[in-house]
Amino acid sequence: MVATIAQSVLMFVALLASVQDRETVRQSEAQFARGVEAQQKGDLDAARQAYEAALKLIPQRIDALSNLGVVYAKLGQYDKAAANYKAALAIDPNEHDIRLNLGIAYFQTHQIEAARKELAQVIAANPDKLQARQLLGVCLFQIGKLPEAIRELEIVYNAQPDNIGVAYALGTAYLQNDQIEQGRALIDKVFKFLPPAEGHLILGALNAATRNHVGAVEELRLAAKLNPKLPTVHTQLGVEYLITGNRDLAIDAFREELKNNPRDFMANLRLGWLLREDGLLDEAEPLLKLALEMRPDDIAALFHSAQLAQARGRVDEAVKMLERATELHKDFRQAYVLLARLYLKQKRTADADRLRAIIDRLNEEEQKRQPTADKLSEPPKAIDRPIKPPQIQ
Amino acid sequence: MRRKIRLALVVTAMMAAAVLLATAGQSLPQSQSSKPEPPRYLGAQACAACHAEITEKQQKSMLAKAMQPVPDCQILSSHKELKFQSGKFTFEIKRQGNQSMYTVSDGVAQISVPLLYCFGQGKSGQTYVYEYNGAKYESRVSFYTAINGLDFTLGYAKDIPANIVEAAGRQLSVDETRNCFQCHTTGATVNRQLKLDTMVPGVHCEACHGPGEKHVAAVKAGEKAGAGMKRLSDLDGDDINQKLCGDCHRSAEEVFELPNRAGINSVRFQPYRIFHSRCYSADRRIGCTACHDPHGDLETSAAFYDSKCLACHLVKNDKPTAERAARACPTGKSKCTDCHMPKIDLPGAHFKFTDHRIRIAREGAPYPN
Repeated sequence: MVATIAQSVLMFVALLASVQDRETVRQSEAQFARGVEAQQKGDLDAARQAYEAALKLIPQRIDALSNLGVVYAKLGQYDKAAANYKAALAIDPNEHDIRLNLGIAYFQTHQIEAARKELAQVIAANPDKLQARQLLGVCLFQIGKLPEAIRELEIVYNAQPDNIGVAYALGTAYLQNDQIEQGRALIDKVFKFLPPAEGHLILGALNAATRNHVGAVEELRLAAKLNPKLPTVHTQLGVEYLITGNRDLAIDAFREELKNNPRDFMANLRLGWLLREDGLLDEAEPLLKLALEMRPDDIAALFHSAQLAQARGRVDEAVKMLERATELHKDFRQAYVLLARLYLKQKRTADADRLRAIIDRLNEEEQKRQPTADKLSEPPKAIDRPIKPPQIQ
Repeated sequence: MRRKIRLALVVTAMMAAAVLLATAGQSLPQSQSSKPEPPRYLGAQACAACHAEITEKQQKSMLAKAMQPVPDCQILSSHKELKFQSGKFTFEIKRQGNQSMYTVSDGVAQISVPLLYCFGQGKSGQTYVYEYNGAKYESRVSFYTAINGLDFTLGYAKDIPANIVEAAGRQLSVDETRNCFQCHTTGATVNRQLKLDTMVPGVHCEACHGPGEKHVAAVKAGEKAGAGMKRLSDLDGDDINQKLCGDCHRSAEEVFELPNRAGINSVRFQPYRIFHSRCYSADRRIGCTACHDPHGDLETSAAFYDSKCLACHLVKNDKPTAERAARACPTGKSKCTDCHMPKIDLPGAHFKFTDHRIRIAREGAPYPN
């Protein structure tokens, strides 16, 4: 009898729980539907509240997590978007569309390496996902892996030859990689579709790639004037100012870029390097630190960070950076010189001599490759040949 | 559970923005250090008040004449007319009072400008700087002492001038102008800005020791004599070579950045060359100042330099000591530089430069990069 009562109580409790579950699910679904409706209407705040309410009732809803991530992304809150995407992927790691969105969120917050990893996973699972491949190409471009970037972008371009965006990206990557003719062909193709500022920017890049640095400065100045917030315009202008021998304007340009884009690698590196040379170490240090954080294996970032560490008297730290730089780039003679000099300060004479022997060997190899490199050793020639006007594009 | 995943397919057709990296619109942390007013250069007279003898000696040195304004230029004063012809181009420098006019003609067009500055004290040669259309130019021709006349400035001979302006010389960029004056004068730059109105021509005390204002103030206030000055005595041999002297004479690191570094051109860059010497170290006995006194003229006697080598190297049958243990030369005990620091004739320079890469220079052996 007692057992029968107990069984009845248990059944009643189970039934009650089931009714409550159904009610919870129903309420969560209703909230989710409200969220979708609000999102479709563009009321992002209402959508966010609805999705959050749905998730409060059932925290494991992938759909609500994903949609909430999208809402946050549209609100420009990419960190929160990424947190929701990650929560969704923790439930189901095979949701590759969500992973693509996570990659985009990382990209938007300049976490390029993290974005690259997510996008590579998406492509590994779904090689035809061209959108992911296109963004992966852009990420690889951003972290300086030009051949890999070109490979990804070429796949997308071959599949979508009318995709102006990918043509632009690929053309830019070609120019950076000294594949001038291929770059020029794509630039010609997209030029008419570009807004004026972007048009001058790409012409500036083309002039720079073809060593017409005066022309590059002119184009980039125009681009910056038309759209001062155009990403990388000031960085590219700064680089060209340096090449044409105007260091002060270069410093101003890099500063300008960093106002718009504090995580621009090249602006951080170059400005940090120039300010270090000027002895403004306090200002240079965070810039070089960020550059090295963004690209830990970039030899220029390592070299200039080492120079800064040396100037600060942190010889051991400088030595480690230079050892890493020379490990990554075995022909990097300036790094060998500085490292040998620091070894001398550490009384590591044998190590310094070893490096100087490496420099000697590299010099000898260079001499063998370029037996006529010494241009001044040729006798002077009379300047009575026909005069050609300089070619300025 | 119904799946209503709506994806933010954010990648737009216009990947331009993506390539160029979308901006976050954040502002740069304003960490720019304010530039305090730098200490002023006081000139050699201020140094002479306490350091009369060494200042007087330095004023007569070659370094003090590293750059001269045209009115004070000894070479141009003593050469009233200099001429050079190459093909259809004629180059002429004529003294008029205390000025010198530089005229270049191709038979049709002509450019004529007053020279402003003479770079180089003339041991090997001298190059001129003038202004044209508001910019500074380096003359295409230089004076060479060995030929007592003009020839192409190093690096110019193969250029084909596009017009008469280019034939006359090369426009110096802002950075080049600053670098020229920074190394050939004293106090030409303040916070990296070129101050030609206050610079003192030539390399004087404060070029190496730093601006004297703080030091003089400290001394006047009764502080110890060295107050406010750079302590150059703390520098090791490597810092003297690569930093103190290398900043202008080209450090090993800097030379690797030069486009035409390879080959014999590098013989002019002594800090780079000495870095490659087998005996290079941080020892001050291999530092530039061990052999060269920046306060005086260049020593030319072989015996003087022998004593510098023998500060470290033994002579046959010498017993090594803690300070002097480098091996003895098996073939000689004098005129070390004849064999170990050969003089290199740099084509076009009309001058033999001492190669500071200390080595056993064998007859016919190639010049080591």
